[in-house]
Formats: sequence, C-alpha cells, structure tokens
Amino acid sequence: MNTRLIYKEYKDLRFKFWLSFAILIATALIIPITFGYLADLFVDLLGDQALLHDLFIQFTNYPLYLFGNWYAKNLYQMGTLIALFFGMGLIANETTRKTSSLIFTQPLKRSTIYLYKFGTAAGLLILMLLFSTLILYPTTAMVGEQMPGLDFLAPLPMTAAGLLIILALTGLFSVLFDDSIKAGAISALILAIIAIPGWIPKEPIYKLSIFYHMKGISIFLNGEFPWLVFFIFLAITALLLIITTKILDQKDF
Amino acid sequence: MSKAIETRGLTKTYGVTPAVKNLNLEVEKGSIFGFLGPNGAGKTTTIKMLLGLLIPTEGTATILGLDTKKDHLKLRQKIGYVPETASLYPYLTVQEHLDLIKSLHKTWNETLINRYLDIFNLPKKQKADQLSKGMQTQLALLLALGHQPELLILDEPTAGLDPIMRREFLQTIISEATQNNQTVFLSSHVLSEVERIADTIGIIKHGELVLTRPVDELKTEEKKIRVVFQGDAPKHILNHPGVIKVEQEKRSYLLTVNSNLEEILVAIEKTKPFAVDILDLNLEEIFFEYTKTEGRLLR
Repeated sequence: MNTRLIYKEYKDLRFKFWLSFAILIATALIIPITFGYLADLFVDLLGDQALLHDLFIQFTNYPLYLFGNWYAKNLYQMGTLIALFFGMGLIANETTRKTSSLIFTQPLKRSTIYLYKFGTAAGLLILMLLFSTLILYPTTAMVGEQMPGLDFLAPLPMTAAGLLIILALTGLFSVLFDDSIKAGAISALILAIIAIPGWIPKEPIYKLSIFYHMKGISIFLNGEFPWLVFFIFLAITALLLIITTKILDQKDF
Repeated sequence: MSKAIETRGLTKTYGVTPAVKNLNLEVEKGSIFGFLGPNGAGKTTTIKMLLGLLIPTEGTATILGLDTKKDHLKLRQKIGYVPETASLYPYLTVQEHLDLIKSLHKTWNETLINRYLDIFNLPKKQKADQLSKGMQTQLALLLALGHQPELLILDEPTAGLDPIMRREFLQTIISEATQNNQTVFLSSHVLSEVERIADTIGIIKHGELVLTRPVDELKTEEKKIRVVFQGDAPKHILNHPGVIKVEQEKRSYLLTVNSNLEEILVAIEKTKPFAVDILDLNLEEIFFEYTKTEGRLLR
C-alpha cells in the first residue's frame, strides 16, 4: 500500500472532507438537542399530547425521531451530496490541473491510481458516516433521552453501500468528462432519475430506488439486515469500478 | 549504437484530423535529440504517444527496446518527463512532491536530489503554487531526474523562463545526461538552445517528420546557393538530388541544398554562371526553410 499516494489524495479532498464532516457533526448535534424543543413546541401548538402522538408520532418516540431524522433524512441526503462532491473531481481535476501528465507517467497502472483515489474518497466518506453517527450517542446522553443500542448502527452499512454506488457513478463521469462540474451535474441528473421509483408509493416500485434502501427502513422496522440488497449494491459498485478503469485505460490525456 | 526511441508509422487522428501522420522516428541512445516544429505541428502529440498519455491510432513505438503499449510500466521506470507547464499539485509542498514520486519508483537518487535542491535553492516546505515559475520548472525537472531515467523527455520545458534560468536548466540537463549517459529528447521553440545542446535534430511539420539529421551534418550540408545563370536555369540543376527548394527572383535563383553540395556546385560551375554565392544556414534558418510554406519544395 502506498501511503504517500493516499496522503496526496487526502490532501486533494481535505477541504471538502472537513467542511462536510463539520456539517454532518453539526447535524448530529442538532438532532438530539432539538427533540425536546420541537416536541414542546408541537404540544404548545396542538395543545394536546395525544394529538401530537396521532399526528407527529416521532415527537413522542425518541428512537423513531432519531432514526427518522438521521438515517431516513439527513445522513443519506447529505451523504449523497458529499459523495457527488468527492467523486466529481477524482479524475477531472487531474485533467484540468494538467497533473495527469505527472501522475499517469509514473510506473503505476491507471486502474491502480484510480482505485487509490476511489479508496481514499470512500474511506473518508465512511469515516464521516461512522463518526457523525457515533456523535449521536453522547449527544443523546447529554439531553437525557433514551440511549440507542448498538443496533442503531445497523443501517450504516446500507447507507455506506449506497454512497459507494454514487461515488463510483460520479467517478465514472469524472473520467468521461474533463470538467468536474459537468461530471457532477450529469451524475446528479442520473441520481434524480434513479430516485424517481422512490417517489411512487407503491410496493415494489419504491423499493427499486437505491435511496429507499440507503435509509435502512427495513432494518429499523423489522430488525432484518437486507443482505441481498447490500451485496447487490456492492456488486453495482464493483461493476462501475470495472467500467471506469476500462474507460480510463483507453482515455487520452 | 542502439535506439532509444524508434517509431514505425506512428499516427494519431482526432476524428478525421490527423495530428501525427505515419511518423518514423529514430533516436540513438545517449544522444540529445532536438525535436522541432511550429505550433500545432504534432510535437506534444508525439511525446504524449511515447509516454502512453495518448493512444496511437496506428503504428508502434519502442523505447529502449520496450514496446510502449505492452511494457509501459517497465518503461516508466526508465523515462523522466518534464512537460511544458510544470504539472504539480498546488496543495503539496516541494518535499511532499519528492516523497510521492520517490514512493512510486524502485530507484531514487537522494544525493542527486539534495544536491539540486541546494543548487536551485528550492524551499522544501513551500507549496507548489507558492513557487515561482522557474522554481516550479526546476522541481518538475527534479521529479523527472530523481529515479535516474535512461531517457529524459522534455516538452518545451524552458517556455516562460528567463534566459538565466533557461541556461541553468539546460546546464543541469547536459551535465546529468553526459554523466549518466542518458538520452535526451527535447522539444523546444528556442532554436538557439537546441542548436547549443542537441547533437541530432528532427523537424516535424503538419504531423509529418520532414527532417532528421545530426547537427554537424546539418551545418556542413545544409546550404543556400544564390546563383545567377547566363540564360534560363538548367533543369538538371534545379532537379538535382540534394536541391530541396528553389526560389526565383528575376534571373537570380536561391537553391536550398541539403546534400550533394559539391556535385551541385560543379554542375553550376559548368554552366558558367554570372555569379555564385554559398550561404551558410544556422538552425533557425534551416528550421524556417523546412517549415515555411512558400517556395517550391521539390523533395
């Protein structure tokens, strides 16, 4: 393993990484802290605890509130944007900065260089997901709510696997287009198309959306980890990586 | 002497536009080869194909006996490359650049690097984007020299450098190349510097190689003959092998000759001309002769 190459990739992503990390941590701090305030606010507005339970059940059930606001909302949405930001410059930045003539004339396969890039970005992404999710534990303890068990971390691999697909997809467009903005925009467009089944409230159509699975709803509701979907996600990522490295090998710099 | 670079029918086409056409190039090991051509002639495209940055549409290239397609990883251990614009990561320091490139090579000459860091006075902790243009080029040269390549490919490396920096840069290359018996493939617009350091010249025009010749031979064989004939110019002289270009102004002819100078002069003398002048050509004039489009190019 070449740690210098990993360090170089980290330095390339460091601003995006720390900014994204700060936003995720801020979100992980805000969610538990605001639970009590929001619950009180709704009770005041509705004037009845029972009505609150009927209309906004999550404000009377902290684990549900935490899951709904973290996995089912913020984590996968922010993670998607972060994966896009990380992926769009993976190769396109080397082209626009003209550093491709330095890195791709070294005695290392293009595919290896790409895997280092992807691996570093994926590693940073997973680190962010894990640490920001772990922040929820002390914050929950701080506000005196019911501590989530370790099983609260169970949806994390599904979110991460979905984000790997997004990173790999954006990385592919970063090879196809020399402009990172264009690579990001096209990826975002494709992701929007992929998200469409999730907006149709009909089973099994909404289950065709990767975003549905990234929320880990079935894990939270049934306690069952969707291994099949997880491995399908990993296989899609692997397929995208293979396609990307094949295209990269044939690319003119 | 074996070949450092050998291309056969090397071609690169973008859509229908050929950038390099059927290039057959040979560069001897241990030589300093000056690769010249006007803007857009195909110099950078050729270099990028040799480096594997561009995939040739047709043809083959071998470097140091290795195929550029099949053995590109082995080759990259043996090649150092300095592009026109120093390719550096703005967020990495001088030392971080050196550490990165060192980590990718099996061999690395730390003594050489430290010596040149001192000579160039490069600040190790400074980020690349905070270095002057000259320092960036010097760092790019160190990154190319550190693994002691057998072949150094330089694509207009001194573009934008002041004359002092340029001289210092070329001095480093000459000194390292001669000490280590390295081959240097240098593309440049500054013909005077190529003339000073190169022992062989190649000129490319519209993607085609129009000349390759040792510099010494160029200087002794490439001449212009200004001749005023008594009557019409004899066709056998204008078409004599070695006459590559004929320009006419009234009765005065200007013949550009690249070989058979003695034979051509004897043939001219036999016609008892009014006047004959032999003009020496420097590299700039030779370059201009081969790359300008005016005049009648016979061969």
